[in-house]
Amino acid sequence: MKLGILLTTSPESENTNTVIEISKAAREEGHDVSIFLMYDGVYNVNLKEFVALVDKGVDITICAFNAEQRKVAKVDGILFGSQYDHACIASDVDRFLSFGES
Amino acid sequence: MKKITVIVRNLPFNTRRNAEALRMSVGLTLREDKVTVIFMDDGVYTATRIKPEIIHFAPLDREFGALSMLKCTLLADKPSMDKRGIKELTENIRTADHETIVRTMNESDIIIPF
Repeated sequence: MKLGILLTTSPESENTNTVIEISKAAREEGHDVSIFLMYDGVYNVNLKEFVALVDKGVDITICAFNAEQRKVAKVDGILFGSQYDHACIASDVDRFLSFGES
Repeated sequence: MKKITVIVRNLPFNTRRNAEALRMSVGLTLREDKVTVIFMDDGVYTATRIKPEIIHFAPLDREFGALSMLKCTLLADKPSMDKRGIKELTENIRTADHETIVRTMNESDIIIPF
């Protein structure tokens, strides 16, 4: 199964830990996971535990426009993409989860 | 083709979230999925004829224009409007009753509360 995740909150939010753990669990079950970071979610690439998901086979894409606004530097293994990449994730996955402000 | 619904719930002037939700909605049309935006709770203020430029807040005309041009459905939740005394909406946004909102959500493949 292909799982897509949108994360729009910064690392202080509990969403970050939830996304990390869901992604790890899904990968362990053999599912494909694609994460798209936008708005304050782009700050998650500054978190070592989050970036470590790349080594577990998770595809992470960041909205380059939001990253540039927030002066977030490029990180190896993470695609600095666009809203088109988000549209592709949403269109291609079997399940899509959104994590934002409650 | 998937049906994607984006829900805008925040006040317009204390966050850029609403503008980003609309920008994201425009992006989601790029794979020809059907995108609907629902304004509810305090998000309905974003659907009114406000003039954010008066307080030097970036207006959302460009995002609304693109969504209309792309034929996205824009709905404002009537109970949320009634509770706030809102009677007029920006061009191309339709008032939707509770049943319409629920049906739209039920028929969606993806719901993104932003």
